[in-house]
Amino acid sequence: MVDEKKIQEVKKKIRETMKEQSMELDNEPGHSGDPINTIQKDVEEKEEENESRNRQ
Amino acid sequence: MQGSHKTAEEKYKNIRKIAHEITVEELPYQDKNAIALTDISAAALNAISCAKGRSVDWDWNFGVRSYRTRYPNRFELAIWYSSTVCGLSLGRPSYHGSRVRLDFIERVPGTNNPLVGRVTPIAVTAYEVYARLIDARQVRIISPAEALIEYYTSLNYVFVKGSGSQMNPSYLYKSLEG
Repeated sequence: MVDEKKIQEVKKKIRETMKEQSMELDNEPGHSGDPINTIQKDVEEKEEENESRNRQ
Repeated sequence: MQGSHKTAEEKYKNIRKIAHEITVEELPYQDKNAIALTDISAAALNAISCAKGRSVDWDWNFGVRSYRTRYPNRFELAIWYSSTVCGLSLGRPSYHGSRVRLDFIERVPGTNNPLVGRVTPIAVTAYEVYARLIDARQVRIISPAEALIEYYTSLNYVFVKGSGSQMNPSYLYKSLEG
């Protein structure tokens, strides 16, 4: 469960982040990503395994 | 559905709801009271499948079914303006939860979409909120549209060019600091 303190921390971070960025795009494309080819799971898992090993 | 899957499903549904609410609350738009973020409902699926002039013919019904079966911790996003669906997105944390991926996003076409130009910024913000709530350290945007790379890099995302193969697509990432 997410406690109130965490929620307030996240709100603060997001507020700070949004101050520095544009929240409107002039030529927003209709889509992004590739649902058919999003299977990067194996690659990511290998990366995470390596990172875990390096931390140990 | 197994008990553990059901428990995880309820847990992450609650976190998604909090992420949706925080995002709307913090949006800098004057008309943000008309904007709502939700999970992808049957009404949202129906609206996008009936929309004319879509730039892609993605099967959102299949995508949502697939993610719901496999990933209780997925991030679902339907972006509404009043009762109009303006965009949908699906993503999920990586296996160990250290990263959250925005896998794909589609804006409902047409000049009647009141959130043209704002669907992507709202979605990226929502993913960052969700990632922070589940203590992920990074957000990744998988296979970004060419036209959005410059925008994403302006948000401090770093572009990593893939090899072009299905297993190694291009992506952008942003590390979330404490």
